[in-house]
Amino acid sequence: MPATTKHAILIVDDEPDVLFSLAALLRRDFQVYTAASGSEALEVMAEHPVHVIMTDQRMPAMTGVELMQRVCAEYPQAVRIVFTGYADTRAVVDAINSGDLYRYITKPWDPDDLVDLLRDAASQHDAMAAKVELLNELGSYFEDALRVTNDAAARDSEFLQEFQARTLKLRRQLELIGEAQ
Amino acid sequence: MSDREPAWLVVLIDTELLRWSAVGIDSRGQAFPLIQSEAGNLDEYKELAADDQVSFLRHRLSGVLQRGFDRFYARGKKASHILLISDGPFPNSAEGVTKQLAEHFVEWMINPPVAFLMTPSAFNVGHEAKFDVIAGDFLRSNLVTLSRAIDGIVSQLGQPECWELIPNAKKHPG
Repeated sequence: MPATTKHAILIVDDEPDVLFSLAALLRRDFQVYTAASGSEALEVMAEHPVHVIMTDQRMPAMTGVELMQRVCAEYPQAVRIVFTGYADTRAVVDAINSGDLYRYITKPWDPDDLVDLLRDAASQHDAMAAKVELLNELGSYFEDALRVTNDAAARDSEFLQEFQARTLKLRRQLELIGEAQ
Repeated sequence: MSDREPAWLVVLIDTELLRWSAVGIDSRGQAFPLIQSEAGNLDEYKELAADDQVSFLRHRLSGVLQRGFDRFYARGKKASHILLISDGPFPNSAEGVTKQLAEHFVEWMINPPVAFLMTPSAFNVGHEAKFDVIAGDFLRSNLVTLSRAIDGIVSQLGQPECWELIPNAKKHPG
């Protein structure tokens, strides 16, 4: 994503004042969306690209883990974080086994630490997106690389310029993946 | 490295009203009210089985601490110690609930450290600093500062205008 654009974060919690506090804390660094339930969260995700989703575990109707299972299936590139008031062991195991989570965090967290965590999560998203794009492009890139090597006619300056630009892009994607690891 | 001013985050648990109040105490020993729940905010535990009572109270009080951290952040404060203070055991609770709850927070939260204290009814700690330490460590020498601060804030517990009110959420299972 362009460096000037904020990452989009979706916060899900059924307690309005928690959402309000988090939105106030995060809006300087991120494009913040909020939802008061799992179903509302899915509606937001259907309407807006969301890079990181962070949800409370304990909510009526749909738990955080259940929501993350849906998100994992429908929006696999969204980085998923579940938070809870305490470590309910079963919820942790369920989350890790079925929600494919980036982090499981417990309340209370320090606001500075949370911002750092979400920045890391956003970097993780960029790395995953870069990885997907890289894999999509590698096939045709190698075909073009073979043409450059074997076909003199392909070595005109326009083709080479385009090939060089693609090389730089792939290098940048590899760097993004490396930075997130 | 945070440049926020360290302060104690204190949660006063009124076991008669089953209401909590979060208070900050700065390095000069000055208490400042933050947020307060409605009466009955904690009463759901009474409807639950013994194991679930602790679970509910852990979750609810973790949310209180989160709000406290957020309010501290807005004021340029950083919690250096968390103190959960109840003015008695939880009424009509299963045996050992208060102790289990206290030990959970002390074991679970390391930074900042937690202590769970108990006072006589209505937080009447007096000049003798009448606190029982249920779990966690808190310097004896700090109890006098804490006692004075609580003494100064107790009269405000019944004044809603001093607090940001957190309304009771609708009840839901789990």
